[in-house]
Amino acid sequence: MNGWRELIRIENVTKRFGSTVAADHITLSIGEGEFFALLGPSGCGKTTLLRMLAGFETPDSGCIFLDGKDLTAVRPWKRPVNMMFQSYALFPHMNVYDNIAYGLRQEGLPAAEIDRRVRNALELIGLPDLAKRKPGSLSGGQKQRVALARAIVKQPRVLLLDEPLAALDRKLRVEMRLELKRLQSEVGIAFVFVTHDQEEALTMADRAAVMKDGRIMQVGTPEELYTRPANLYVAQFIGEANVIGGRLECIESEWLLRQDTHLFRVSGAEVRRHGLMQGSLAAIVVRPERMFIASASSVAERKDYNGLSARVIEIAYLGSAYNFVVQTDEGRRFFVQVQGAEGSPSYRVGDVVMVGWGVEQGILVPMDEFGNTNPPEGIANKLR
Amino acid sequence: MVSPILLLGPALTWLVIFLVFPLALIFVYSFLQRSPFGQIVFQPSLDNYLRLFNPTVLRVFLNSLRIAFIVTLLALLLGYPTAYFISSQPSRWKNTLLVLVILPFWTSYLIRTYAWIVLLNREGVLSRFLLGLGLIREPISFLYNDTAIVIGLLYGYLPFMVLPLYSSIERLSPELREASFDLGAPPLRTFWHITLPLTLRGIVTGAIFVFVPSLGNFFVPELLGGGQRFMIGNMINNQFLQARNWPYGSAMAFGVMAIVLALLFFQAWVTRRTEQV
Repeated sequence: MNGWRELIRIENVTKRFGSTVAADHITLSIGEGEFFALLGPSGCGKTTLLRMLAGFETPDSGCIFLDGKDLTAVRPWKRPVNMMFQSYALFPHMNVYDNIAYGLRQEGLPAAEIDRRVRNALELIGLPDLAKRKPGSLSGGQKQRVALARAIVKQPRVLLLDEPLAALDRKLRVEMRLELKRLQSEVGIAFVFVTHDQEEALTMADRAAVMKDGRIMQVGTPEELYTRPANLYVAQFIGEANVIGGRLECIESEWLLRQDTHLFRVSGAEVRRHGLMQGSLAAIVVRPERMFIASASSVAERKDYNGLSARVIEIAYLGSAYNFVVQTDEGRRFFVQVQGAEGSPSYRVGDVVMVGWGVEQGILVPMDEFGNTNPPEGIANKLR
Repeated sequence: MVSPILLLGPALTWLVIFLVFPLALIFVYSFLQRSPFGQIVFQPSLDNYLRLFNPTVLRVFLNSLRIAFIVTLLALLLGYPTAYFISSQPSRWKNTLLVLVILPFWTSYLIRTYAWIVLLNREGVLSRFLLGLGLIREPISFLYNDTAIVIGLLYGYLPFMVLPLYSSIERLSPELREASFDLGAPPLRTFWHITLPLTLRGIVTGAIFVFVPSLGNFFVPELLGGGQRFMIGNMINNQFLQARNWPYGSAMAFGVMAIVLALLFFQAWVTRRTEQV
């Protein structure tokens, strides 16, 4: 990203709750004006990290910097950071106007200035007529906008959003993604949002950190996370994946991955990306839409493909695509997605077909001998 | 088909016999007169109610209101932090602490009031303690004044304040407090602008739960006031049992009820105002 300038630096932050580690030596940088996602399953520590940025939790060790200033010990009411809560946390005894004005009144601004900024904020969220309404009489989408306005009106350096769309129904959620994106570029504030929904993170975020068990598994743009996952966990969390685990071999300068008795061709570039060697444990990850399916006799054996004979065991029609589940004689299962209607009528459940993928379509990720995919420290915490 | 209204039958019967009927009786009595020997004489008039405004009776009314008000205020000042503390504890402790709050109810209030005599009299624990500290030279009795009555009532009715406060504080989402912090309001201002208004219903409910029985109580002033200090309850008690002027006592009882009803209307008003919460 051009002109990227560091705004927040989280340095080696650890936080424990009893025996659970919510944040395990997390190091992370977030840029000015960036739309950043903390992505992971529930209990991965993403909300704790957000709450540490807001000041509601204090790290057991490590520091948080904003603009180079140590923020770690600064109380929540003194931080130039505002948060939008998952429940919105609108004050039920105040009307919309007073909710939005609340933060400005704490700053002791002149009444005229407060009024101007509150009206601007109401304008920005497109609800100028609801100023006198109480939160109890608003719809979910309206509450969400008011909560957003209340946080933005303070013009914080960073806006924190805790599962901002989780409480909305699906249609509104998709709408609000674009709306949030528009608002963010309009106000130019850095947004850090927490989500368990990978689709949400991919569509909205400039960059995302994928978290698991209090650790960051990878930081990157949505495209990087999808096409160049650092480990199996990220590969499987972001999108669907066919996974083949095995040991790498190099035969006559061609890289192969051996699973049981079968050898799969592997991209040399991928081996080098992770610095893997002969004998390393690794897994090939193939996205379903990168797989092909063809009639059993049509594909000749080629050096730039991995092809297997398999039987169709399930077909699902999705409207814009067909999903096939196929199984080889050895019991390997593959999930293949075919866009449009091409080839769809040709196969039925029980047919023997050829499935496979181009070698360059196979993503390689490292593994350890227990099948764990925790990356070495260097990769996990790699910054830009 | 059994109509659901029939389920109310037993309770309704009970209420009619033991509440509505006696109240109606007293209401009728309050307009009648007494004979020189204490019999009820059927001579309807407003005399009894007019006599409520004689200076002696008014003074007792006002003093009772004052004592009940002080008790309520102190109960609020003690009860709010207590309720707040309990609701901030981990959930496994909350129930234990709440049981501790209502534990005194397992013993009769009357007996517990006798215990206060033991604590407050000249040879009592408090007096000896202060002697031991050298703060006083002679043993002092803390009994037989308004302070003793306030202590006794406060002690008895404090749980009635803590419980509704606890339930309203407990209902308050901690995120609201955090949102206030986040928007720049330090804890004290957050308490004033967010926590207090949102627990107002609990405050009003608790205040009425304490104020109403404090106002009507007669045995605490009897025992701890030692007959020196009078509250409305004592006066009504006297009219019925000593003076044998049931009509006048009935009118006094309805005077107290008028005050209580006014308070309940006030509570309903506050509840309606905070309905949206």
